[in-house]
Amino acid sequence: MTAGADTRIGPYLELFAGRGAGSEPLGTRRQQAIERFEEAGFPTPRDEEWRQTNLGPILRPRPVPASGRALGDGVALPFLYPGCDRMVFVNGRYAPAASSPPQGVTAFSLADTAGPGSDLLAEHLGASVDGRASCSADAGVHPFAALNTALFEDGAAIGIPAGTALERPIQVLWLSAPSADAAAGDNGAPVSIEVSFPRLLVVAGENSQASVIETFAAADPAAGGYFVCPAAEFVCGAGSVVRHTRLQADAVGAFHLGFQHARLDRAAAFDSSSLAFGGALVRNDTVALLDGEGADCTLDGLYVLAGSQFTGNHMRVEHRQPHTTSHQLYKGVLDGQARSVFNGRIYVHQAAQKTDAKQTNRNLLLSKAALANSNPQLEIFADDVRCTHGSTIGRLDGDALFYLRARGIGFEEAHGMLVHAFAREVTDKATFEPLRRDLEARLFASLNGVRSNGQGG
Amino acid sequence: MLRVKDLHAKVEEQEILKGVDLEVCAGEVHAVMGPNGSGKSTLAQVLAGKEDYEVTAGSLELEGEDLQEMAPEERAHAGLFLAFQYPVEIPGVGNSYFLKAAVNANRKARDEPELDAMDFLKLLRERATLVDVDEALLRRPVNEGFSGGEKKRNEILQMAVLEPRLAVLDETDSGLDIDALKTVAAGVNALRAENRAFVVITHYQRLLNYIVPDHVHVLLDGRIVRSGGSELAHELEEKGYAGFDGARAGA
Repeated sequence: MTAGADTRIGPYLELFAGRGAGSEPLGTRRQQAIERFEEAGFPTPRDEEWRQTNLGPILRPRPVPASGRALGDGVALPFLYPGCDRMVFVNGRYAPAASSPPQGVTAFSLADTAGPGSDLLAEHLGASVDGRASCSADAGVHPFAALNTALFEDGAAIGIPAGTALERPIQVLWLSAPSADAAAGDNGAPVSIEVSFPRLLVVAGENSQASVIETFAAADPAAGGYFVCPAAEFVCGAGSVVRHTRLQADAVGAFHLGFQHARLDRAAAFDSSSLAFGGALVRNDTVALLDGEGADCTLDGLYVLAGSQFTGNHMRVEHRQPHTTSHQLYKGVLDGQARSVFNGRIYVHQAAQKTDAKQTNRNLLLSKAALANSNPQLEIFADDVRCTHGSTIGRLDGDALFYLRARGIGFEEAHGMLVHAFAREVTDKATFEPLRRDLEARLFASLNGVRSNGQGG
Repeated sequence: MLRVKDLHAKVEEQEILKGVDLEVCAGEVHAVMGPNGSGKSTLAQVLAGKEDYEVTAGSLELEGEDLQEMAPEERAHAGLFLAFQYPVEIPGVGNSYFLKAAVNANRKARDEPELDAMDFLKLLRERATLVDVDEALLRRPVNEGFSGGEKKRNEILQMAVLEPRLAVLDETDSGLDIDALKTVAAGVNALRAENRAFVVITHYQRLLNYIVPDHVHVLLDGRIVRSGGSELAHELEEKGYAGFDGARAGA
């Protein structure tokens, strides 16, 4: 496809032209990123990885930076966990009054590129995403990651010094509070859409330990369409242990196209849970590179969908060195006309002998019209490996339902218990108590929403 | 208490029960014996309200109420309990949580106050001791990874906690070694009461040495072909079901 053919990229190129590449160390990278984006254009339905993601509603309206509207720091309070260090961003801007960055750690807003963390940025930010250093031949350029690198206005960079173990989790809150009165065009479709490009960089030094909780939320859960296009990079040094929770709880009408990238050095462990509860169209693309011997990566996820929600999870786990392990468990609950896609690619390089990779995707359909797609893809170029994948798409176990009812538990309650039991395998992993309780509450609320929304469809 | 009249039931277009009559009074223990495929488990599932089975003729009444009009949970509320032949594993649902939900669902349906966590725990511990269930089982997900004996004991525990009017035990003895069998039987005997009745469905006479029935019924090809006292079980043990073919022909 030629760039000229894609008229949808124009407004985004204008956003870049309006703000410019900016100063080093990021200027050159931003310039390169926008050029790559311009060359590649937005994906079309012909792109295999994007075939099932309908970008129309996101790309038709004119993008307007969300950061144009400031908000009080107080709006963030309901989303913050006690006992955490935190960095809060409202409509894409750092909110220092609501934040309390961790001590003993390099943590700063990315708007401050000349600050004490500029070395960190120069070395790492954007160095491994966008398909540059990251992937084997066919990974290509991720258009939305490139767009994020070109256009992010602010974000969080966190550097954990070697040998440091952080006791408190770091919560990074990305809060959207879109304008309530989005102008509508002649056909009722919005003419503009507020867009933000949250950017996170986590650099874990050798033998360091940290836990990072990312929360994507809307001040008003009933808010209309806005577009969040986040990118996160995790650079996990040798022997480091990084836990990551990605809670996506955007407004029901939101669009969310996320990209996250982890690179693991020798004997590093990266354990990430991705929980998707909100949004009209949500997609999360994850790339994990096991780049050092003995690296161990766990990627878990849960999506709970109703109405006409869509969620896609596109995974790419690359085993590049021997004795690396990866475990993926993604579970989905779908009601109404909801749709989901799980694309799980495991790529085992020739050098990666003794790889142990496991991938599981389980989907529970609660209505006839719900649709789950599950596509495991294994590409194995080493001969002494263990790779397993399992994928199921099914309905609630009628025997289990009968068993509960035969004990006097009513249909609704029994149904709820079983769906909840299916989903909690992922939420139960959270060990930080305030997070676990919040996930539990969100799961409960969204399952009840699934039930009540589902009755019409 | 239970009145089954001329019950016909089919599953997937195949008629399994072809006119079962059974009357059980409070305080009684009835044994229903029969070979594989005679319709024993179908009878149990139809009583509990499993939707896969269709009642095509006849009636089912518990305490004068028509069971066919009732959902499975409503049958439980009315005092019916089925100990499953194959208890279902339910990963992710804790055994004790499940039992509390069941107890309180029944209490709510009967307009009784729900038990709080403390009172429930007290009840659960007491009944677990009564039927000799290890407390460790209470903390595990319902039946998940339980041995055959643990699953059956868990059924008896549920029965002890839910205190049904009528308990139907569907081949509770299958897959049990003699020690587990004795434990399960002791649990059942501990729960025998004047206002409670049992229907014990079994293939073998063995269980009936420990749970001595007041009445024994022989089920063959979807009909009860003979009824008698506990001596009938011993006769069956000696002669086998083959000896009852004539009775079926004459029925």
